[in-house]
Amino acid sequence: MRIWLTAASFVLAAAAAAFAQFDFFRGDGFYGPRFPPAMRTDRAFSFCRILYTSVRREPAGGGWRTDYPYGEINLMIRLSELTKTPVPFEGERQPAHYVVRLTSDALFDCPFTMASDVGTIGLSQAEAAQLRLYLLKGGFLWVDDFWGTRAWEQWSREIAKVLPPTEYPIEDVPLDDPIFSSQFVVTEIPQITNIGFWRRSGGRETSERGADSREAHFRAIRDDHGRIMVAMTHNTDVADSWEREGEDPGFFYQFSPDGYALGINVLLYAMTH
Amino acid sequence: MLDAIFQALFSYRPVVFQQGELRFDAGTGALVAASLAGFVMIVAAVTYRGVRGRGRVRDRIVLTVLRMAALAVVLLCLFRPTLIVRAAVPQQNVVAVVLDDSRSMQIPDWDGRPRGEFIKQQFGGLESPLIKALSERFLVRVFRFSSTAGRLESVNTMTFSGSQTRLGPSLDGTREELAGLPVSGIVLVSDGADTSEVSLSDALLGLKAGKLPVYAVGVGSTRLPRDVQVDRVVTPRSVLKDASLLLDVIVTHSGYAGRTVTVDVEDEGRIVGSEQVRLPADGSPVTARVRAAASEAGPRLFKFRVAPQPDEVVTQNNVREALIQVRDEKEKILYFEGEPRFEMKFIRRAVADDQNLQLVVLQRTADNKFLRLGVDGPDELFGGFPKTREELFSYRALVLGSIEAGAFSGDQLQMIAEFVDRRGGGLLMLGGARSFGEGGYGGTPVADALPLALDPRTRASEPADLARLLLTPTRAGQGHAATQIGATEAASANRWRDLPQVTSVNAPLEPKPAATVLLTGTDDRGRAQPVLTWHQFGRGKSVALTLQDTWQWQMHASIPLEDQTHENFWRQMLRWVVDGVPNMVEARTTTERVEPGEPVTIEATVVDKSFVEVNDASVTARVTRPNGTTLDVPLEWTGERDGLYRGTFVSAEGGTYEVTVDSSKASAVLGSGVTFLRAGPSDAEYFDPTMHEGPLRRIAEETGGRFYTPETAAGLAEDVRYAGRGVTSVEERELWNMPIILIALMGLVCAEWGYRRAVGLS
Repeated sequence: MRIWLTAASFVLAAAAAAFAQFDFFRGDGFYGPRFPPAMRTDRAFSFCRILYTSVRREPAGGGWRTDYPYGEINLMIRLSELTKTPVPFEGERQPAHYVVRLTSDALFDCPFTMASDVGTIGLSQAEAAQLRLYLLKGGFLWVDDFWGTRAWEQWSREIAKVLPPTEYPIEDVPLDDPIFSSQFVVTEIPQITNIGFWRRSGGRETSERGADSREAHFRAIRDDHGRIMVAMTHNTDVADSWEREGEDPGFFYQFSPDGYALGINVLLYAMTH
Repeated sequence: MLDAIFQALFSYRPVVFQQGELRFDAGTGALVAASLAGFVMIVAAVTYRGVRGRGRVRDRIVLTVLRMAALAVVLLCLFRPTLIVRAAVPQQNVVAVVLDDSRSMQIPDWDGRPRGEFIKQQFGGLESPLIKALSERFLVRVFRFSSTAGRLESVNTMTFSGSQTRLGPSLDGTREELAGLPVSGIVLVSDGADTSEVSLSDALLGLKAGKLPVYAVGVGSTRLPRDVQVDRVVTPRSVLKDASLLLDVIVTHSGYAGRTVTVDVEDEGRIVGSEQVRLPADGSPVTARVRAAASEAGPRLFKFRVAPQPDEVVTQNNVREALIQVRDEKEKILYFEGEPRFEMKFIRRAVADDQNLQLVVLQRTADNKFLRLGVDGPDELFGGFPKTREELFSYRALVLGSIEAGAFSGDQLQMIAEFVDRRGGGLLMLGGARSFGEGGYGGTPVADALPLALDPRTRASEPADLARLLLTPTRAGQGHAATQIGATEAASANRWRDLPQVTSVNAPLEPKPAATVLLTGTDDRGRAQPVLTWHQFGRGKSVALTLQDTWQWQMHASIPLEDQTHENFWRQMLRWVVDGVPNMVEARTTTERVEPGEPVTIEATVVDKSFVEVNDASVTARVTRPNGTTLDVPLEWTGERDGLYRGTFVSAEGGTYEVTVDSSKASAVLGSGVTFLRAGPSDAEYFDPTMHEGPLRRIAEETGGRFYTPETAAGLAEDVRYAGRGVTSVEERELWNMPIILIALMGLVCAEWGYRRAVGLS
């Protein structure tokens, strides 16, 4: 508990500092995908977001660009502040984050990737094959912000093309798994809603699909050694706690410490396991 | 042949002249004759001088000299030159005949017959030439020797099956056997291939002190016409299970230049490696570097074999054996990483399947916050990086990732240096923004340990510009176990060339003078820098790998999923770093193999947890014999060196002996070490199977005897007679009637006559 509080105070202090310097709390608007250069100038940690094709729509969903780009920008800044991870910055302290297609060779320069709103994802055979190769070689994928049964079914159907459940079953990750204690001790899976829903509900409701999404899940697909290859945060929008951390103190206090604790734990796990 | 010619011309054998004393016996008549001869010589000289107008001055000088020489020869004979020699009194003296009964006497290179045939022919019966010649003059005592020596009743019982040739001890034993007897000499018949580890010098001292000449007969050829020999193999005595071994097998030969042969490595009969090698010119060694796997744990008998070649004289030397202890243990390596980065993740993954490596990771995730992975229990590394030598020295290797020197206390930096220097552990520093010069290691004890030269004035700094590097193994790296990423040396070199670029953010550093660079990296502008460098630092090894992203060899788009380059590299690298790291108790035997019945010396080095030598420990070796019975052998501190204990036991039956050394001090266990030993007959007799003339000639010359070959041995008995040893009588040998005198006289006269004819003076 003490660790958790320490983390929260760290995050708060860092947020205040960042707020004074940057305009990163602004989440609305259209941002084009920031593809990696042909030759990267570093080999440090970079947040890579998967650019995929949506084959259906989810309420309030934005497809691959959901929570982009401030989710990763804010998370990388927090990562550099709360850990010893060398995070590369470009220009005016803009952390180097990229968007990659599954069919691009640049995918393999990103041992950590994330995708949001994967309840709408549709994978071609080529994309599924490439993603499988990426994961089995040691890549890590975190999918987030997909709510309810239909979104889960869509995602689980598509990921089955990559890693058939007979061989790589999806399982719930218990709270005593090392991923929940990489740096901060996470004692429950936080259900984080997008800020618009939060505002509309007056901050009382966190399940965006009502009874169909009442419980947040942390599920995973592991490799032969039990290491998590694909982490899934279902019925929760962890990335929104990073993206919108500066928009409302109430939202921040309710969600961001938990969101960052989980986010940094997952990043550290991806860099160590 | 030369001896025979000499004896025909001079009437006696050379030994008579060597040992005899020259005297002249000039009577009155001889003095008158000498006066007359002198007068004649003066007259002749004057006559020649006075003859003017006929012939040149040179002709007259030549003719004068020839005439004078002829007269001098006659004059010499008038003075009756005589050799006074001391000859052994017949049947009053003993001669020892010492015969080689070892296996190498079966080699058929004495006129195409086994060497032992010479012994049987010359000594087999009473009418055999050499034994007969000796028996006519001496009382003959016959001995045999190989690994042991003793009296021999009949030469025909010799089997030539001894597994060793112990020249020195055999001669010593013979000398002691004959002590007190009038001995004229020792006749030694052998191929001279001494396979014992005993120096000849001690035996020679005894023989010289006893004035016993040795007459050595060297049997066999000094060069075999056709032979291939596995001359030497370089193997570790102990390896980790599943180690990929790179073994040097040195092959020599005669008569097969240009032929390609296959060197096979067998692990208890199963071929685990092969390499083809082309044989160079006769006598030149060639090294086959064979890759083999040690996949079975325990003491394993490895054989290194070249198949027999057509018409090969000796095939037993085509195989060599080596006992290798294959340890199925987990080597514990501490990896301290100063920042979360993918390099650590992929190194962990690469060695995850290696059952013999335990990579304990201490990851600094934030200031004063550490993540521990692979630890044995909740207490391990609880306080961060070890603060005591006992704690740090419990690991066998230390990997320093991107962690700055400032993260350690001064004592911890000193401990790291001592970890290599005193404990003998392996140190590997990886490239990164916080390592090497950029990490502020300049001027620290760790900089002393590193194989790259860090300027002591260097302070911690921002990382250098990213250098994209293509790697190439150096000449040393091409044959190094850590850098083999292909099935063959050539495939490995090609694979290095094909690998994707990797990067370094550390400013290039020069290797220290005694360091070895195994990999170099070339950047986009063609500049080369050492990438993988190592050196020996005290008891341990220190390695620098200046890369920060070898994970590219796993993740890069050009690397197929099934490619094992990254895994193999890191397994080999970490196995190499822990290779040879000593335990608290290091047990060994002074020899890897003994003959059954021979004593075995066990040595053990004992240190405490801080790796300080202990001299007052209780040390016991438990020997498990091949039949399963055990024997406890107490080891005592030698006093020669701190921490060195020694004890002996006598081997019994053949087979593998396990020696476990346990040490304790004040009822606290310090540790234990295991080693293995093989008892069994050796094939050493067939290695270097030519006749070794050198040692035999040395024995003969240093003792005042003589060296013979089978062709020259006929006069041996006569030579022994004039050795001047034992009961002797003085004999005179007149020299005036030697054929050489008459020949010389006639030669001089004929020469004078012929010269006259040639110059027209006759």
